[in-house]
Amino acid sequence: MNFLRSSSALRLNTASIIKRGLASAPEAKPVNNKTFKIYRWSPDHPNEKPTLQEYKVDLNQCGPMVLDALIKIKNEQDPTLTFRRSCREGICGSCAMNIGGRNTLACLCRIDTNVSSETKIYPLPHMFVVKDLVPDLTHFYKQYKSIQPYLQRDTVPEDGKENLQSIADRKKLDGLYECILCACCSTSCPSYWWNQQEYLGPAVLMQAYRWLIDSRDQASGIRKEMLENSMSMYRCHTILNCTKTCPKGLNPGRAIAEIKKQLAFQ
Amino acid sequence: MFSLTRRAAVNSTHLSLVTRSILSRSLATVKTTVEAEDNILKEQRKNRPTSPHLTIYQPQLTWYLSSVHRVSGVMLAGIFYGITCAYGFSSILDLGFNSDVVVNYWNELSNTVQYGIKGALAFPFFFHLGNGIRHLIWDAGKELTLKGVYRTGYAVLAFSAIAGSDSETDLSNFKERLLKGCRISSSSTVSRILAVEAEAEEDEGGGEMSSNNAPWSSRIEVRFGRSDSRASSVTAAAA
Repeated sequence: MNFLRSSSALRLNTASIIKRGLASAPEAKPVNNKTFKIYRWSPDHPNEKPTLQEYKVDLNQCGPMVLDALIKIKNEQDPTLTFRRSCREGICGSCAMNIGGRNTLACLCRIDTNVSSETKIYPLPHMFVVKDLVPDLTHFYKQYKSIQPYLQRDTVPEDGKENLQSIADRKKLDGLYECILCACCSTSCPSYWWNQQEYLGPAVLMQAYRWLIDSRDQASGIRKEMLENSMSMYRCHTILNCTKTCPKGLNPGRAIAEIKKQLAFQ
Repeated sequence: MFSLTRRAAVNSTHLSLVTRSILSRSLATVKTTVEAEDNILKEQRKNRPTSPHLTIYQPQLTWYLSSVHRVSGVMLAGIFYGITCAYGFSSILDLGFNSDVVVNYWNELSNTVQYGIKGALAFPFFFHLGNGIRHLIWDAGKELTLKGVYRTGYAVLAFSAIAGSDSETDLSNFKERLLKGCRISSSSTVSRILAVEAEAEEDEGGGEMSSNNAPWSSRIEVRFGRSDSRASSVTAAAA
């Protein structure tokens, strides 16, 4: 008996919900098409030149960020469109690309709502293209590995557990450790465009600085020695495209200037 | 009971099938070395295009000023070394290229061309000078925030615009303009200046001193020396 009553109550509830839903049927929003021109190149047809393909996305049916539009295009219009993405909140660095002429993360970049102008999307500049918006970052990661981005010490901590650091020393790492290695800054740097093979680029150099000023690290001598040549760091001409473009608001240009100062005054 | 065992048997064959497929898939992976991987990468890169860069990147003050700095430096250095070397070779080989030739050639040019050449040299020179100082400030670790970069960038542009356009005109012309500016700025003293001027002409014995003989700047100092202190400080700067 009890069971019966509760089920009828449930049925009533559902009915009222449905009725309410029907009563407030949303008005269909007008179509607000925005044009995206996206760089396309496929390794399946290596002889075809890269092209810009045009897509139209209804902004009223799309999330606010460029990544939302890309995913929408891939889901609904063209499943062959290729790009990297993962976290969609600016912490993985996968969706780094050139949007509207500047390097940024697609997930942190709002769609320009002015539908009269089109938005052009390219892969990160002056990189080998694997497919569409996917650049080949092998060399970039190798460069990162080359600066030995890990703690190096000759002595073990006194208590056998932790390498302690003062609050002031820890503060020096702020603005450096947040880097997610999305390669936006390095691929915005004209020096890196022309000398990619030897010049380390802003992202990697900022990490070099991060380990140089870490009070716990004891390998600063070797670290500095590795940068003491005409190419590794001194190809930086303080253009500062890196600082301008960083989607995390970091300042690689300052970090490189600080390394230069350290090397000059040591 | 029977059904149970049969189900177990079916399950186990299912399982073994799954394991076998996983195993065979893992066996299909190609073992490789770092060098082999590198070679694969190189082969792939032969096909891969390089993504567009200079032509598609957004115009920004940062890299535009940097390229202007480099271009102006190369241009000015080229002209400087070019003319210097031309003087040197000319004096060794007796080709007759010296400063008199240059002055004569310059005087024959029309006014417009003269202004054009002066501008083409003055603006890049002052830009390069200003931006060079900006680089020194950066090398000291100052003004390296985004705000600092833009602030100093616009300051350099303003400096090169003002300094460049000032050097477009002759120095004597520059002095005249400054004097005019003084008169306008201290209009209340104009009548006093005129009175003093007349007095000075009387003192120095008529109009001949005022026209040619006395040096321009010292005459002005004499004139303004008797007027109020504000005006005299302005002319001191002008002199």
